[in-house]
Amino acid sequence: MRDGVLFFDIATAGYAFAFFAFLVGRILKRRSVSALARGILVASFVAQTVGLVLRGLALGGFPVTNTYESVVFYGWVFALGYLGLLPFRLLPKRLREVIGLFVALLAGAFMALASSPLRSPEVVPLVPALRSHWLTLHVSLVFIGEGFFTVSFIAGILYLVQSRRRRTEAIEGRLEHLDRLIYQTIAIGFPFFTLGGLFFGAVWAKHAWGRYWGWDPKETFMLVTWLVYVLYLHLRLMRGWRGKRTAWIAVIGFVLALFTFAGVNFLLRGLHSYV
Amino acid sequence: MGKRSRILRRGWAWLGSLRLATALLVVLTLATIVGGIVPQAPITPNASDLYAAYGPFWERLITRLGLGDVFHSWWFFALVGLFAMNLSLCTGRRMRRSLQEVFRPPRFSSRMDGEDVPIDHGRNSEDVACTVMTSLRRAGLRKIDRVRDPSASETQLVAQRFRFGALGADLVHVGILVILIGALLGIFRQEGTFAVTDWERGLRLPACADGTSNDCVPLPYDVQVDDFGVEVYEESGRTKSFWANLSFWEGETQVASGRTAVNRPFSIRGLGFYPWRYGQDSSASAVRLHVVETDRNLVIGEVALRIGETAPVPGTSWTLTALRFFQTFALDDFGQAVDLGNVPGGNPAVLLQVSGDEGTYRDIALPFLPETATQPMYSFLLAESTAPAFLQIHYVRSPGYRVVWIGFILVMVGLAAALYFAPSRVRISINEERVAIHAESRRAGSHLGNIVERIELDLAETSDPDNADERIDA
Repeated sequence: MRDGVLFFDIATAGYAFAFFAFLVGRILKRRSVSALARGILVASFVAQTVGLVLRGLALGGFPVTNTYESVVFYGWVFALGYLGLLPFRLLPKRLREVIGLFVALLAGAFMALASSPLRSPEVVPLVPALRSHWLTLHVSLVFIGEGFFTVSFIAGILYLVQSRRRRTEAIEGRLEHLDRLIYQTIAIGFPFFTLGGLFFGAVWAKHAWGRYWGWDPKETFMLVTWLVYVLYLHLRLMRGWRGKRTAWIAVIGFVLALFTFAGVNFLLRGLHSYV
Repeated sequence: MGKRSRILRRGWAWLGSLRLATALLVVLTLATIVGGIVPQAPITPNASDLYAAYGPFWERLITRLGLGDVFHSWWFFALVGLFAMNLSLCTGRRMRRSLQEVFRPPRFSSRMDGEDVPIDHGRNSEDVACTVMTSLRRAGLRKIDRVRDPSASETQLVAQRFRFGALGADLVHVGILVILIGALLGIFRQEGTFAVTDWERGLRLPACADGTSNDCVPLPYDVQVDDFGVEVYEESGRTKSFWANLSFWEGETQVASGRTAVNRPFSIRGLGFYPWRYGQDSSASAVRLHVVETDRNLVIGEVALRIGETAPVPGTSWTLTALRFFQTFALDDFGQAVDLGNVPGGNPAVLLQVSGDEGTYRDIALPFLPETATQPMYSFLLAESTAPAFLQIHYVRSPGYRVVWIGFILVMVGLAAALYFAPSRVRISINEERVAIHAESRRAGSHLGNIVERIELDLAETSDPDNADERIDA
């Protein structure tokens, strides 16, 4: 229990229940069921938070030191990105349920992936290179940024799916909301991603290795992801691009962010491979 | 205007255009993806490895286009240079407008393309202005300027929020340019490594003009490694950190001393010292060997020496040189001796060169005597071996990194201003007959619609409180 795994298992089950509750609420069009689903999502998030705190205490540091912990934290940030948007009324009511459904699905999928026998949940002491306060700042801010990118990705997918349907006034309104949501989540997440990923990453690299940039595969793909989101912001704010084209860029940006997080570790070995 | 100057003007405009910026962002992204996927220098595989991994077409493409070292290729530098030029020109043009927007007092605008709200005839425009200003303040727009047209028949109220946010994008651009300048200063970077073993504590590496070796360091002072060690976790015994105490000397004068550890480098006069690697250096092992007279299978003496050293075999005229230490000895398919590294239960061994009156031969000393077809006069038994700990220290002078930090700070301030504090402006034109409201914002989904509604509501309430609800519904 001290390693937080029990709470992570509860959270995994919770996200699965939340997903099915969102689905049932949507099919039956019952608001009470959707509200219940949101409640389960919040409870799962709380359980995951407790698990992360316990693990952090056991580890004596920020619990993102290996793939298991990173995947769990990534799942946590997905939920945070969604729940963080709710109080600010950035999500229109009609989109809350459908985005909640996808968030529960993705967070649950990541928790299930972390719980697979391929990744050991054992608490392993930090290797020398990771014993730094910069780890907390670097990783947490990157993940917060990516949490918002996840919501933009879900909104992007929904946009692309909805845009294939026959255009009615209701659909047009929904598409406008989704387009705005994609922009707002990227606009919130992008500064976090820049600060944590590029700036604090560079400061830490200078501190640990004597150089702030080394074209390590992780750094390189972090830059690629950043450039794609820069492109999105330029095209939307300066050239006035809207709709399908920007939705596609949001989807591609998130796929690259995901590859930077997971793909690089397995396919391209570098200084960031603490698997 | 001549044709030539027109072309020049167009070319200049194109160099600072958003179209070029977009194209460059796409090309730079693609180039970076290629550099991220294809193994880059200095670990670029050779042509035959590339051929085996990717096939003949890709091998030829990667080799010919220099994709094995994308980030140091001339075309990548050219792209970044063009990007910097585009950014400079674009920022130069934008910034003038942004500065005017922020610092120049608002002027009367004769073009108003906003919403019109008719007001009752006979109502004092000053009274209307007061109502509107109260509405604006309640909506959080506290900076309100009042401007009049030359004939003084119309008043305009210009309310602004986050007007400094107009400089956000320019700050981001300037920040990126500063980062690129900092990176350019990296060409004056100086770095190298040196290593010390357990037996070299207190060793002073003298300064030398150039070249990096374990004999000297190309630094402005001598470096002495006074001590070094490793910290381990008590429970697991895993490595927690490693450190070194360093002192720096100019002749016989100590100029500085300090401790460097992982994530806590020691810096002196712009040079940073980083503990790089820690481990056992088997190439500098010390071994103790029993000398066995093969005929009688009797231990006749003992020899202690380090790798690379030569020592006499006791009681004989023979000498012994330790050539190489194997942490785990094995023979490969071709009968060659190989070291498998630190394998639990593996047999360590020493490759020896034995020289005497009857000639020279090579022998392997293991912890046991193997049965061999040939029986030399003396055999050697590995009684003990010690591989010393070593610490490799990396030193770096990295000019320009502070410039890069300044660039990043500018980028962050700019991003926050552009994305979190985007400027918004409401212009309200008031004359005796109507109120026209024009709202503009750089932020999608801004609250300006609510402000316009609020002004309408307040005007309706103050002009005819009884009918306000009806008018709002309408």
